[in-house]
Amino acid sequence: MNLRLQAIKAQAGALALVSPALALLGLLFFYPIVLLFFTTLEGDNIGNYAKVVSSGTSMQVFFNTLRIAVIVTVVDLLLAYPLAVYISGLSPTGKAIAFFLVLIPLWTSQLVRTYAWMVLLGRQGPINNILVWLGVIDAPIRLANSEFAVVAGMTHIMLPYMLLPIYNSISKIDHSLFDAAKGLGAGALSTFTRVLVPLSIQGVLAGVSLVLVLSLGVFIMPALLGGGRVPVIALLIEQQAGSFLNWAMAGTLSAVLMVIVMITFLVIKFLTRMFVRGRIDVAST
Amino acid sequence: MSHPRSRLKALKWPGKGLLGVFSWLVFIFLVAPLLVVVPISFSGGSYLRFPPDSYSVRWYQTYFGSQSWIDATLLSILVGTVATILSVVLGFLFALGITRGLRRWSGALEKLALAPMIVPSIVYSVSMYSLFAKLGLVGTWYGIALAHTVLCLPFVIIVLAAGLKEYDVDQETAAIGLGASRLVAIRRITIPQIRSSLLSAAFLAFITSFDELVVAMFLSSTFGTLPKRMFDNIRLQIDPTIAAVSVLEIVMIVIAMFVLLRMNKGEASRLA
Repeated sequence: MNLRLQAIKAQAGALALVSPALALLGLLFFYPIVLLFFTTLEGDNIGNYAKVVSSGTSMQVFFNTLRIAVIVTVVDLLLAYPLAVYISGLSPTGKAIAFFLVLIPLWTSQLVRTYAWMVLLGRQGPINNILVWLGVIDAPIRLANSEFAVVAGMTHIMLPYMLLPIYNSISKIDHSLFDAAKGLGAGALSTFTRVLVPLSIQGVLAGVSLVLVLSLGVFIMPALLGGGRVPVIALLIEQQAGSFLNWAMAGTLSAVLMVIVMITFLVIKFLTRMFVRGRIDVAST
Repeated sequence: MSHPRSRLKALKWPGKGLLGVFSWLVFIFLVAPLLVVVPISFSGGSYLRFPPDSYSVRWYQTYFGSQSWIDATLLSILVGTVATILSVVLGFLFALGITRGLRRWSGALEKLALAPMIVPSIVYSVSMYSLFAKLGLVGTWYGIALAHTVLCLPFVIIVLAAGLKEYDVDQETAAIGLGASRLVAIRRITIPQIRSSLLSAAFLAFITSFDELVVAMFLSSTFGTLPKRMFDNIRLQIDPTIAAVSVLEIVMIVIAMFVLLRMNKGEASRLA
């Protein structure tokens, strides 16, 4: 039988298999998003971009969203990296327990987790109780309905997204490299900075990218834990669409948010490539 | 053979004990907030006090006795089931396609299919509302189910593509060599072997839809899914009914997790 014909048939078969999913994504994902972009560029709508840029409030909101996303990402990185190192050193049973503890909050509804944080940070919640009992404060203070509450809750929600890619890259490292580094006279610190960190940098960047991108679009936490004091882009878009029925402005803000997310995503992708190249250079010299 | 324990032992640094303490504090940070809702859900009073002054099961009774809570739950189960079935079927075919052929294109296609993960749900909601408003699909349950299918698809594809890459295709080829048609070979040889991946994918798809708030909020008009009902409850009246609902959801997740862990032979990392 003709081998080339068979190969073409196999390719056609594979194409037929992927096409239903691609059709759905095309019609109900890429098309509406492209449509949204084009609508914001039509006629009077284009003026909305100028309004967004010249308005102090909306620029402030964009800046605020970015700032919160960066804080959450940095805190999560500081929490997740040591935890990933610890988990990768555990026995199989220990790992199973650790994953159980990480996946349960990840799979629990965001609304449930947000509510849990409202209880935790409430005026008569456990944190206030403990602080009063310790004598740190005299009377319960306002912890919820603040930026602190939003950042704390987001840090909790995003932590698994940071941890899992970092753990993946650390667990793939060949452990004999650590012995080799030790054999060559490297101390704990230089083994960490020159073996562990360079070999896990891809996982770190994947985690950073995921947490940044997800944090930029976050809605539930600022809406419920912010108490109206923590303006972020997603809330602004919902307000324009839901309360003011200004769908054109909601569309423009969405397009700007989308562009910010894409830029963030691409910058980190570029950085990852740079690091991979840099490592090859170090190895060859 | 590399022993997992020795993996990072070479890193004999003085702070090893400290790392353990730090890590367990982070675990507490991850899990403790969820446990806080348990006593609240059994609270006897109607306001948020921790620990509650008295205990009762009245908030569970409120939930099960309330038509609006039950309607919202049933609607979310309906939407979640339809989105799960659609996304698992489409995702399975897609994963088969990119792992069996299209060698040069499969990487790019997989990335394309994962795009819904990085688009903020508020942006997707505004886009879908504009489209569905034109098509007259706003305010229909199947409109929400279709939008959720798009959001579930990336998770399904990640899990199933990983499962299919591990699976040895030669077994399917052998079955075909022995006279089975490809369809029979896939149904009787391939699917049983990636059953645990299929179940994980279905579970992830279902909770993705079941928990989704923003898209459902934009695309529903008067009725609401369970997350919408929870959101309104937290925003407007915040009584412990929401705590009872939370505890029921957490219990469901823990049970599902035990089942999936057993199916995956205890290898929790495969679920991540």
